[in-house]
Amino acid sequence: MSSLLLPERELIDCIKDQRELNIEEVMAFMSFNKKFILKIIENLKTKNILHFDSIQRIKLNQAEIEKVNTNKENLEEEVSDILRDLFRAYLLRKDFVMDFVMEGIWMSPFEEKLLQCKKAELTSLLSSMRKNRPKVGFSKKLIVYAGCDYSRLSRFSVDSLGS
Amino acid sequence: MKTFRRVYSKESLAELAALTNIQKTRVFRILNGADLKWKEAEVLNQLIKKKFGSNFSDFFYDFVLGKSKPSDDKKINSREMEKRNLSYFYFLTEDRK
Repeated sequence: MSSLLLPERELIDCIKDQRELNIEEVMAFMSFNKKFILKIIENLKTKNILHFDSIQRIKLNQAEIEKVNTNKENLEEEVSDILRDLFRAYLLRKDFVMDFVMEGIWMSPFEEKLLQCKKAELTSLLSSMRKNRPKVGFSKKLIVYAGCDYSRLSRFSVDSLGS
Repeated sequence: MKTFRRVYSKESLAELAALTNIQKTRVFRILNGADLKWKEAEVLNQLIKKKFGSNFSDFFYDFVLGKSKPSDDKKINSREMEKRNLSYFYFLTEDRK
């Protein structure tokens, strides 16, 4: 099963919940030109993710997307690519990267609770924004955040070698 | 080859033969999937470069000719290949101001 490349994933995100494809609109939401967007559409068609009678009448194959989204290998590849590209862009000081924070911090139990509260606030904010649909004036941001027990991740990294 | 054909899509077989200095029958075989010889690939690359200027990205060429060692993992290879194809297409179609 094919995994999705980032521009393909972005296009799916842009056109989901839409029955008609307005290329001009998609161009406004994505930073690619028409030829390239048509190429992505062609790729998605090859992957059986997109069906269309004409370029205006499109249909996403939700079952196939679900298959891609639940395939662990695919997800690992996609997420690894995103994190690598994000970090590369950050290192190259690209102005579209807002921030990239990765640091080990000692925390007291109280501070851990405090962080959990802040995380709950953030989760709720993101969840409310998730209902937004593409609109003129909106811009799509990619939010990546994670937190974990440093020592257990370290152990996992050596533990999972060869698995 | 696909890229070359896309770049030189209007040329006839005879014109391609004249352009590449490769025999017409050989051009026909190449267009139909025959493996490229190193020199032929170099000629095609030069012609693509000629059309798109000196900032042509060599990585695709290197990859096609196997200079970069693909991983043994077939799935990673196919994804990597897809990425390179898409990057290359982007290179060919990006807006130049």
